[in-house]
Amino acid sequence: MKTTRREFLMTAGALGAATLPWPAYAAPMFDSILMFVPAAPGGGWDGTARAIEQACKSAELVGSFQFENVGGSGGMVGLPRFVNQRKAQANALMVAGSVMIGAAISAKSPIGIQSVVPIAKLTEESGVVVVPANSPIKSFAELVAAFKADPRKVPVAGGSAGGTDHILLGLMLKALGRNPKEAAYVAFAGGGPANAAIIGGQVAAGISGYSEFEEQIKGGRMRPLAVSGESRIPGVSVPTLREQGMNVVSANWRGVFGAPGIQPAQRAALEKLIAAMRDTAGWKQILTTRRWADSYQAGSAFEKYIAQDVTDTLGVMKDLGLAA
Amino acid sequence: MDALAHLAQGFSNALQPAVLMYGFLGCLVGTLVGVLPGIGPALTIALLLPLTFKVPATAMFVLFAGIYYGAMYGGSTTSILLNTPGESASVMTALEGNRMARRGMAGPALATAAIGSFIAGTIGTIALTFFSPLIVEAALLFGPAEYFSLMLLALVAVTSVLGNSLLRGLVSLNLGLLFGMVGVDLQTGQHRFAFGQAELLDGLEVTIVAVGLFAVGEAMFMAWKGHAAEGKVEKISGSLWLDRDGWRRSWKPWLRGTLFGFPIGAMPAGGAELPTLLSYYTEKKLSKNPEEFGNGAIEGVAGPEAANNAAAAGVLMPLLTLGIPTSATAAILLSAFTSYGIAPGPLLFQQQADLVWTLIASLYVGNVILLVLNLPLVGLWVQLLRIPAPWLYGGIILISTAGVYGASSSVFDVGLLYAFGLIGFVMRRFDFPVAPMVMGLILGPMAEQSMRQALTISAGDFATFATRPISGTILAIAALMLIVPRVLRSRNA
Amino acid sequence: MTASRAPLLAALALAALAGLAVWGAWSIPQGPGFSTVGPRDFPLVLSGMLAVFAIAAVVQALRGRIPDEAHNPDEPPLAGALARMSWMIAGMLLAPLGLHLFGFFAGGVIGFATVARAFGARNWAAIIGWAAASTIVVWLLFDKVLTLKLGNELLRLPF
Repeated sequence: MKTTRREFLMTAGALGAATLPWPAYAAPMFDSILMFVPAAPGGGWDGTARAIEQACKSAELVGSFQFENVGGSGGMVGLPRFVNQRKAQANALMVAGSVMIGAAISAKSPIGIQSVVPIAKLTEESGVVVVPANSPIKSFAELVAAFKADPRKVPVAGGSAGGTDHILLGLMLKALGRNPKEAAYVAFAGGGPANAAIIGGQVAAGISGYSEFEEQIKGGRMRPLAVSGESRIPGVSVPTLREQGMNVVSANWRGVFGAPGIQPAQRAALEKLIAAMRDTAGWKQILTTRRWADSYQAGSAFEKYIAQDVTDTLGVMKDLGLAA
Repeated sequence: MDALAHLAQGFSNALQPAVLMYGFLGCLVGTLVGVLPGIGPALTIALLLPLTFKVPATAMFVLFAGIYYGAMYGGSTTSILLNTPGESASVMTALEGNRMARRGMAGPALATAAIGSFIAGTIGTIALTFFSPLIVEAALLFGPAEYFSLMLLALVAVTSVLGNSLLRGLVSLNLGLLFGMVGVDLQTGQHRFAFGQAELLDGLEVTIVAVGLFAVGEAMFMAWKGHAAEGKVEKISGSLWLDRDGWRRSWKPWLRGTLFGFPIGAMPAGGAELPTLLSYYTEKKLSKNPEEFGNGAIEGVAGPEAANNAAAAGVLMPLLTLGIPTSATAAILLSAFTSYGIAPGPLLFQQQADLVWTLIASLYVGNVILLVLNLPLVGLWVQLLRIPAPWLYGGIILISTAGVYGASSSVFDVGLLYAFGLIGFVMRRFDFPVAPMVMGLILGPMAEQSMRQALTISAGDFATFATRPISGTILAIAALMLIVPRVLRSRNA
Repeated sequence: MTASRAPLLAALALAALAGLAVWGAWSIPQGPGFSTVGPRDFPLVLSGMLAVFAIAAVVQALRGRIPDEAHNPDEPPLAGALARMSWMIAGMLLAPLGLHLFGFFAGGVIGFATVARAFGARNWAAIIGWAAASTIVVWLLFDKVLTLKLGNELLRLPF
């Protein structure tokens, strides 16, 4: 009851705030930023974009934000539009992440994440491997044993084919010396049906971003066996794959990109803005409330990271039979 | 009882001023679009879908529920006064109600429709309240195999109500199923029927197809026929309430209509057309003066209207508990849930209990609001029917275009909208039913994906569909539905 | 009763669509993995079924068993159906063009005006007036009140 009322108040407040002109006391770093989101409103990329807006505005780094959402197919509808329509536009930013790499590969698109200018990596979300609460599989070791015996007998639920969940399963099977093509991967559209299939014991295991399963794990209806990140999720006592002897690390990262054809100085200005944004109290607050892991990385380090991620993803997708 | 406690909580949410306001707004808009010929609840909700990110989920669904129920009420006004059924479920109402209006009994016709809608809607909502938790418990046992069998049952049921010609119905359904295959395959990431268009990779948007087929297609058809300007709006004659005789003749048809409406509405592909038909013919059969039917029999308005509204409540049950839409409007509502990242299904009652029960409570509240909105204020709505056809249909096209363009900022989608308008026109001209196409578009990919999920789980064994007890039972029912009517028909022949 | 040619044309269009579907289904890669039912199977079966139905529809049309509203004895279309349809079609081609080139205002006015003309409005001043007014109202409602995006450069609006 209270949440509902709060939701309403928040909406009312947001609407009110949106119509008020923003008083600019200090000179902002940018008068305006065009924030391009290659996904429908409401998803992870959109949430990241809105969070950046919130942080920048509260610290008065940017005068005004304009949003453009073009959703569809892991960003492969929006990306070409950003590349073509925003060429050399110095104040355009696009949010994207690991999902787009896989999407570009399976779409065999000539335009990929390498067609835009990397500004900075911002956040990461760890994947989690779960089994139903009443599953005979009690530990990660037992799951590994089952995979080693015959992966086709161990159906695993997750998001759409070629997405981060599927890729994680492929990496795990490969690490176990099995052919990733043997994966009995059951793709579900959205978290709800996947949750129901796991809880109902229809599948042997499930893989998804931690937030997708969090409620069920807390409710004791799913047993988490491992998380896929570099380190454990703060406040969650589930060990990583690496801790349990499997040398696999994967995470769903999100970052921001500039338009193709911008000058080095313009790129530097955007990098400076994002660096300043990352230091704001507002951004730190958002990271904690949304449980996003800060994985800030910029410049050539970020470029290298992307190049490596593209190579790795292409490799797994070939192994999974999703890319030629 | 558990349901009662939840419901009480739901009421305390639904009666908050802010939520109540959304409910009232929904009822108002719903009645409005119900009254206007050519715009139905499916279209309206489809057009409001892009709003889902601006408004909290609960408020949005309370709004949608108001529109959904409101359109049912408003539709009967148009049927009675203009003889233009706003949607297929109101055809029977138009038949008798318009005759009553011509005989100077528009008032009682409107009254029996509104009161009957209220009673049936309320009973239907009560049934929804108490049956849903039971279905949810059963549904948790459902896996992909069971869902596939259910889809198959739904498809068989659709084919049994295909309209005038089996072939043309099947063509419509089959086209819908094929349209559902467009885009990236969920299980393997392969591109299907995208023909190199990035915009097609996410598949054909149900809302674009539905708005195109229903609104744009209808507008083209009406323009082509050229009769739109001729419609004659009957005066509201007689008292806007029922006299003793009216009550006496109405209450049984109301209850019988409800009995037809709710269960059939709740069945896969049951919809609202079938129960209104059944109710109409039952009333005709039971009537002491069947010769009155066709000349304005009040029973012929009371029964079908009740059936119509009870079916509307019934449709919500499989939608909320199983995530299976059984009508075009339900399909659009399903997209609305999806765009909030909420998946209707057994877990909905557990994860979104607040939302579900507020929604259900708002249905009770909405019924009361609608009774008030529709009876005393009917004169206001009638004014809408006097909007000249050019401005009305121009506005419909404008709003459809704005809704689609506003959702995606894509001119391609607008072109797609008009293309489906043209398809809708051709189908109307040559008597191909339109609704099966929308059902196919929804059910096709659901059936395909659950079948392939089930096969991955069973390591490729087709026997899984028959050997799992629930799935096997559903398949048996589907087989019976396919065979029994044919056997009966051949016996009768 | 002689069969009109229109239903036959519709049936042939359906057959062409079915042909396109079969070809489209054929060109779907069967995909990876060990699945018994791959991404191509459903489309192939469905497009095959559609092809069969399309042939049946052509046969029915030849036999005059597909009704045509153009010959509906109770309520045939009024004279001038072709002209009215031309206005509708013209609008549906020009409105997306206007939308693409000049933004929502142009697209909206073209769409509204052509439809109004198709529904028998004759007075162009009234048509344009109503179209402009309605488009502005819809734009204000959708873009400002409901905050949907009807184009970032709304300024293609002439004010």
